[in-house]
Amino acid sequence: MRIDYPDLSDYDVSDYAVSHGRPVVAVKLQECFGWAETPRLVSGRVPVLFHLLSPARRPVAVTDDLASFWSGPYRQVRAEMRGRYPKHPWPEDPWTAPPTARTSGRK
Amino acid sequence: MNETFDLEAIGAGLAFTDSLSHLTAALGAGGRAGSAVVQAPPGTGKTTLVPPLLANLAMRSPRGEVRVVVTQPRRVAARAAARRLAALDGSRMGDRVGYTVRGDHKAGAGTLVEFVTPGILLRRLLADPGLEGIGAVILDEVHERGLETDLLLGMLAEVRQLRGDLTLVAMSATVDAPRFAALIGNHDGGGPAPVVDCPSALYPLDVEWSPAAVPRLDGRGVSRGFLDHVADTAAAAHTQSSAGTDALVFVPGAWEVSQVASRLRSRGGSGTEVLELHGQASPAEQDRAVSGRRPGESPRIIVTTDLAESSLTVPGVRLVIDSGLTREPRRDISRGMSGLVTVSCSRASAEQRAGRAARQGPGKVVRCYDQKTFGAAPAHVTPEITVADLTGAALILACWGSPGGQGLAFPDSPPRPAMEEAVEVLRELGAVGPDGSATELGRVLARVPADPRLARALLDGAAAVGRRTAAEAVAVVSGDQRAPGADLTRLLATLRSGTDPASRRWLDDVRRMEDIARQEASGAGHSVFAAPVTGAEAMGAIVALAFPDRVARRVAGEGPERYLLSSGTRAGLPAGSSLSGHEWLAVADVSRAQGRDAAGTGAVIRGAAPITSDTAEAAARHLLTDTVEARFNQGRVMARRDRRLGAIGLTSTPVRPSAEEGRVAVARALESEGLGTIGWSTAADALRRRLALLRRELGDPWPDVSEPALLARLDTWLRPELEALAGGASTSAIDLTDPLRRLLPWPAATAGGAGTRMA
Repeated sequence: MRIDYPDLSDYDVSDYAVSHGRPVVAVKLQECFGWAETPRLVSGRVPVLFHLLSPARRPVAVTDDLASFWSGPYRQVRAEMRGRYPKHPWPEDPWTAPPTARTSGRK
Repeated sequence: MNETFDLEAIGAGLAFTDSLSHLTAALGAGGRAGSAVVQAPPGTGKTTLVPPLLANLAMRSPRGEVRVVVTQPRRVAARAAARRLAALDGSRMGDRVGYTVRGDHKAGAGTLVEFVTPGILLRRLLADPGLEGIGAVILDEVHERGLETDLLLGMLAEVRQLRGDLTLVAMSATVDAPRFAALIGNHDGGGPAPVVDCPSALYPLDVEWSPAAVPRLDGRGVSRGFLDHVADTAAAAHTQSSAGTDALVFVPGAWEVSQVASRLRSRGGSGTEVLELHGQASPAEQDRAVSGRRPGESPRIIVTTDLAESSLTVPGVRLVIDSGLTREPRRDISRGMSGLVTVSCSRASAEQRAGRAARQGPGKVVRCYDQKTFGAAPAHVTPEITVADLTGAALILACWGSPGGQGLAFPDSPPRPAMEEAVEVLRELGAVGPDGSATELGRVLARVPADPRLARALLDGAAAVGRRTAAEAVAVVSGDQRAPGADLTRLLATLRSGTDPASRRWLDDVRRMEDIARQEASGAGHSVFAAPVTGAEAMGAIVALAFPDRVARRVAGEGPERYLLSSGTRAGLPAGSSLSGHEWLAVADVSRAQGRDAAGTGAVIRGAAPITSDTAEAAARHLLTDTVEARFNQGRVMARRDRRLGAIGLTSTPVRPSAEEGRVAVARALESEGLGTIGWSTAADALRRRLALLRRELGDPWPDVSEPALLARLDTWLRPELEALAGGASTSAIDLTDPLRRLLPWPAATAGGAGTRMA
């Protein structure tokens, strides 16, 4: 199964989980830049729950509404993470930044 | 017409003389023939006086059934009592007064008083329940609560219902008479039998407590240190006492008797004779100890088991040294094992032992324990019927027509589990039918003076090893001689050579058993053994036939020898036994034990003979099992074929399981460990999770893929894979993804749901 979003088409299914009645995608935060619409499964009944991960793959946020995450709590997350992971992109505007799984240095 | 006994002459100087008139009155009060309980301490002369009194009364009766049969709990006691009465009567042994014990018979047609052991009377009762020719029966020493005496009490009470003219007297040395009086009273509402007491003047008794510094018992039984203490205490007390005092030393068993006696001898004291008294001593030796000291002989120290406690009167004793220990049987039902245990003797026993010192004058008892130990001891002796193996008793009761003892009253009822176990053994032997009553074979077995299992082995084994050899083997096992190092074959050689004092009795048993085997040979079966059993192995073959559940195989390993019995019990072998090293043994006797010989098993083999594995398998063939067990192990079905003899593993080889065995193994593994046994691949796991989500959100037709639901319908989705596993395939070759797809609900699955693609 693949989440209905082009940039995640090769996403490893092992990171996809169904738990507590919700499908979960655990994915690095940077891979979701610009992603506004939360995918829904089972004929649109069940929103996917995103576990947004730090570069060290620790969850920094859990949300099933990506749009409001980018416009609100992202700012706070960015402030905390920037200093700790300077090699990774923490753009001020997540809407326009390209989704990536890489560091900014190799880009 | 017989001449009556001269009771005045016989009873001269005996305390019980004064009670004779009471007994006569008590017996006369009950109608034609009465019953009574005589309660009198040892040494009062009841065993000497009551039998001739009853003989005199019987001679007066018109029916002419004049013989009086008197039981004594032990052979030596029966012989000694007969000798004493004959001497006092001035008649020749075997004429007016006689005795019959196993292997020794001195009585004739004219015998008026016959002393017998309880076992002899039991067998007579079975052969002639009316006791023809017998006018009175006296059961002596009923307080000892021997199994056979208890059986006789129940059975004779029943005989009296049929034969109102049979006089029955029970004699006890302790104050428990009412219990017996209730049992043998008159059945027509006459109430309990009268009790005739003999208040006996006991001379002053000086009690001294002399506990040892070492424990009385250690892991191996009675400790050496304690036996030394008993011997030293005896020597010291004997030295202190006035010159010419005879002493009795009570220890629990024959081995302890010889240990204490040899230490006493080695301590010197040339002026003192040390004698040994126990059931395995030769008759001559026993008789010398109980016949008293002749004028001019040196004073004695007699080391004895509880034989001299009440059943034997050793005259002239003024000093008693008491170890306070006795040996009692115990039955271990869970392991099917009987054995003797050494325990504190009851307070009643201790009083009896002490009393032996003050019958003929002031005396002294030295107790080799303290007052606290005395206080903690049980009040009364443990009735044998409550603790013994009841197989023999159950056979007697079945032949008597009272299976399991039904309808009979005993001083204590046999415990139900032990009795049920015994009846079950008899059923397996073919000795009793489904209803518990004795079969024809059972009646034959009851005539053999041995445990019914051995009796059956005598008949079955005769075909394999010959009647003579079978009889010899059974007589060795059923005799009371101890096998050196538990080696029965060696004991057999000793008995055959005739050097052992018990040889004569053994030979007598052999002849009797050979006779029975010959009479029963008509329907002779054939040997259960495929190959002829060689002479050296005959003993083992017979033992294995009798006790197939005790066929044993050596347990491999370092350290002391250990054997595993087919019953599942483990047992050690006595250190230095000539049996050690044999792979297979037929065990006749195994008893509970601790210490080095038990080698940590809790049991030790007391009597056994070597056998070959073929003999073991043939004798215990009903215990042979041959099973293939398939197991799911390391991802595939593996099977082993196990041949076992009861608990003993014979061979275990890997085999290819049949499809059915494989299926069972797979099903069992799935049941205990679930589908994880096969393992979920990443893809299968993901598919299952998606299906679970769909099921949760949409319900039918999406399948329930929870573990219980999947396990419940294995046939619909996993059948080919399970068949492959059952056939030996490995789980690594199986991916559950495709099988799961078989559950997809077409066409709903093709339609999918928006946002969900099954790809």
